[in-house]
Parts: sequence; C-alpha cells; structure tokens
Amino acid sequence: MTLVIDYPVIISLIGAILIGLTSGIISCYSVLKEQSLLGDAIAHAALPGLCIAFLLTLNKSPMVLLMGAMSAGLIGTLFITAIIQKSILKEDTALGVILSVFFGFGTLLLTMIQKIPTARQSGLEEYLFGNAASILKSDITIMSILAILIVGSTLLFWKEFKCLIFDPDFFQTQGFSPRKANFILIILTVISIIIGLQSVGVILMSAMIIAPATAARLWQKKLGAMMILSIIFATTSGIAGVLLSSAVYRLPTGPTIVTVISLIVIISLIFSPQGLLRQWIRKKINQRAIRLDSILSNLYTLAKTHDDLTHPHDINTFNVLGEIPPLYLLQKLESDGFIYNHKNNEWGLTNVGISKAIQVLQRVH
Amino acid sequence: MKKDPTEIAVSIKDLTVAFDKKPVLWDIDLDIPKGALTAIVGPNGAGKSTLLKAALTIIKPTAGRVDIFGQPIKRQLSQIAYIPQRNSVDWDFPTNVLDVVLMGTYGDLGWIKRPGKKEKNRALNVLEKVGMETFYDRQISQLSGGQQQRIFLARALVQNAAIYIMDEPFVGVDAVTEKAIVTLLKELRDQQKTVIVVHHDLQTIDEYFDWVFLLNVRQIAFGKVKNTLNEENLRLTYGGRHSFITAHP
Repeated sequence: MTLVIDYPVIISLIGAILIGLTSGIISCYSVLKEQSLLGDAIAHAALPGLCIAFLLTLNKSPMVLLMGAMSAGLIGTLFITAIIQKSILKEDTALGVILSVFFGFGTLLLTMIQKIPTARQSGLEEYLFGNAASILKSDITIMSILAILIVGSTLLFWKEFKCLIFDPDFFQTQGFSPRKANFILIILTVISIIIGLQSVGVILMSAMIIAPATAARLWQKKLGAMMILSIIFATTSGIAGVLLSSAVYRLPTGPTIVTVISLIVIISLIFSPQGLLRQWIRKKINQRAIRLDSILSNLYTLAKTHDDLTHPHDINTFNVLGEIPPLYLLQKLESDGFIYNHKNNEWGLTNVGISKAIQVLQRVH
Repeated sequence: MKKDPTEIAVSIKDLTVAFDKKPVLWDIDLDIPKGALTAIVGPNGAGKSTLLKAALTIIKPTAGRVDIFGQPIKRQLSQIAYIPQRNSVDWDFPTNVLDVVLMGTYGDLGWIKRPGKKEKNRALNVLEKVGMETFYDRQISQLSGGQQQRIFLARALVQNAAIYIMDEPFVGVDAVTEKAIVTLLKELRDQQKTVIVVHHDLQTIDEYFDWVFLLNVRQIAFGKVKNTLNEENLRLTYGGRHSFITAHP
C-alpha cells in the first residue's frame, strides 16, 4: 500500500469534495422527504443512458456519457411519477419496477458493448462501481458548474424547500406551487447523482444520497446545521475513499467511499444523542431508579404493620414481594441515608427514607 | 341570510370531488358569512377535510367553483390562513418553533426572499398571543399535542388573513388549550374575521360556533346553530348512529 499524492490524485480529491458537497445537500432533502429510494432508482436508471449515449456517439468522454445518464435518470423519474399518479401501484412498486427494468436493460447494453471489438476499452464498466482515477480536469470543470448550480439553488430556495417538505399543503396555500418546487428538487437530485456516477458508480451512488443525512440527522436538530454536518460526512468519506483506492491496487473507489460513509452511519447510530448507546444507558438508569424506589416502598409496606416505621426486616422477606434486592443497591440506599443495616440481613428505613417512600407511593398511585 | 356578496366570505358553488368516480363530495353549495364562527360537521368519511382542501385548491375539484369575497380563490389565497390537521406533518422535522411560525409569512414574501427582522418580530408577537413566546427556539419534536396546535395557530395568525380555515384543531389537545383556542377564535370573530372549523364534538358546537354546516358527502343543512342543529338534521347526517354520540336535544 503506497500513497502518492500526484496530480491525478489531486484531481480525484477535488472530485470527491464536489461529490461530498452536492450529495451532502441533496441527501438532506431526500431523507427528510422520505424519498431516499428515489435516488437509488435514478442512479440505476442512468446505466442504459450511459450505454446508449456511447453507442450513438462511440465517444467515451464523460461529458457525453453523463448527458446520456442524466436523460435516462430524468426519464426514469418521469416514469416513476407517472406510475404513482396514473396507476394503482404504490411508490415502492414503481421504484422497484423502474430500477430493475432500466438497470436490467443497461446491463444488457453493457454486455453488448463489451462484444464490440473497438469498444472494449471504453471503460464503461467502470461506471458500475466507480473509479475516481478516471476523472479528468475537464470533468472537474463540468462537476464544478453543476455543484454551483446545486448550492446556488439550495440557497435561493432554502425556505421553499423547507416548507415544501415540512408541510406541502400549507406551502400551496401560501401561493407557491408544490409541483414546481418538487420539480426543481428532483432535477437537483438527478444532477447530484450524475456528479457522483464516475467516482461512486451507479450501483452504490444511492448510498451517498441516503447515508450522509441519515447520520447527520442523528446529531443535529436544525436543517442548516444538519446539512453542514451531512456535507462534512459525505466529503470525509469521499476523500477517504479516493485516498484508499489510490493507495491500494485495484481497490474500486465507490465501494470504498460507501464503506466509509456506512461506518459513519453506524457510529452515529450508536453514539449520537439519539443513538442506541444513550438510549440503553437511559433505560438502565431508569431501571435502577425503579428498583431503588421499590426497595423503599417495600420496606415501608413491611414496616407499616409495626408502630415504629423504622422497624427493620429480613431482606429475604422480599422474596414474597418480588425480588430480593442485590447488596449493592442496598448499600447505595444506605449511603444516600434512606435505609440502615440493623444486623446481617436486616434492613430498615431511616426517617428520611420514610418520607421518600411515602413520596414514591404517592407518585405511583 | 343576507345576500349582499361582500358579506359572504366563502362562496362554494356546485362543488364535486370524486376519486376514481367515487364521489367524496357531491354538489355542495355553501355561502359562509363573514365575521362568524362556522363549524363543518359530519361523520368519518363525510368529506369534511376534502371540502377544506378543495376550497383551498390543495385538491383539484371535479367540478364547481370557490369564490372568496366575490373573487376566484386563485387570486385570493393570501386572504386565507389554513391550519391543517396536526398529525398531517412530521413533527420530527429538524426545525424549531419560530421557523414553523415564520412559514406563515412566506406567502407575503413570495419566491426566494427570506424572512427578515420584521417577519421575526411578527412571529414573536403571535407566539405571545398563543402563550408560546418562551418556546420560540424549542425543537418542534419536543412539543406536546396542545403546544403543536398552538404553533399551527400562530403560523396562521402571523398571516393576518381575513379567513381562518382549521381542520380538527381540538383533536388530542388538553382542555386548557381547547379553551384557549376557542377564546382566540372568538376574538378573531369579534374582529370581523371569518373562522371555519372542521369539528367532531357535537356537544360543544352550540357553545363554540355561530353557524353549522352538516355534511355527509352531500350537504344536509346549513344555518345558525340554534335553528340547524336538531334531531332531524343529525339523523340525516349520521344515520341512526348519532344517538350514541350525542345527548343534544
């Protein structure tokens, strides 16, 4: 494994940053609109577009191929929308149908292209899993223009997109056209996918539309902050993917980028404020508090039959009331001053413990 | 009812909405008077929400027209503040209370222009009116049902519209919030605003509202609550089932 930061690697890195920027933005909208699978369908639908563009022009410049991909992606989206609106099929079915039909046809075309002797070196198959090394300086120019388009539109239509996604009906009653806003958003989604195809590939590009915002949402509570974090996550994984794949021989870029962003999602799922670890800790703390409370209320119930409420009882009596509490919980209550150890297994409430127990019982009933 | 068109806030004519040939609303003719509280009442599936949405152009009607103060609705949207059902949005959306209320100023701003200091002050003012001023930077996912409804109400109030259209505002809110909302609605009415509410609690119609529209796909009756909300009309609206749900005379 050797890493040489030479000119082609720098070009790939700039590409990765542009992909991170655009997919980080679009990812937020896709995830919040609960349309993350639309990105998957668009990316897969791009494959036949790439192939047809090549077959028609026999030109393998990314500019030509990506134009084909964009047209196919848009046509795919159009079909999906039409199926949802005009037929009784639901969205997931429409997405599945278009994804498999387009991608199947694309694979067929790709196999055919491989059989044309002059086309064997077209490098088209690299669009399946992506190869950041294939990005040229001229591609960076196009990618930058498209990225500026996405960033600019997001800034211009910030409030429109936010309101459209949060409450489309209200958006309409404010005199806006949800159809127009949706259309702009879909065009931007298609563009951001096209930007990523060369580096990430058609198969895994959807991960860049789903993962960055999924992770960012777990950390941030406002759309702006969420979007910035989403961009940071996407860019980080893009850079890491490019560096790793240029250091390791024949390591494809797309899967490497996606592995890194997936790790970010997993780490976020576990460690974020909404994450599983916090939830687990909170649950444990609650359980412990409930167990401590129940020791106090049980001791109180037992002592009620005596004139003296501090009367100690053998802790094994608790067997009848539920569980015999472990020693460490009793010691915790003792150090808090709620109970005292009479002898061996016998414990009783202190005066502070009595009033605490009464509080607990009042809260429960 | 007066026939002077300026006194009619919302005029609905021959409105029919059908999904796949199944009529959800059938030939509705309705003139809602200005400066009154009007309830729209009917059983589940009667088309109450659909009526609101068709009147607001959210749903395209199969036939019919809606006029606001004698003008076609398309040109009059800014006169109307819509308060959708609380559960129609995702309250986990990453935004805060002030941002949601500011959405009520978007219509005035139009495309691209962002809300500024003036809009923020307006939003803070209405938050005070609904008793939520201290919550302005609160994450919306942390609000209770009653607070969510107050936020929606604030978002409508900030529009300073002439007509307020609400879809089931009292669902899942506590009694205190319900009373607070009713007080606000009555204040609006007293300022000559028109308030139209989809309501499902027959017990409170006569306490809260001036006019009532009874609907079950077709229109059953419309008029002042005391003349309209009677046994006969309720039976026509709810079929035989209304005796289970109301003790109203």
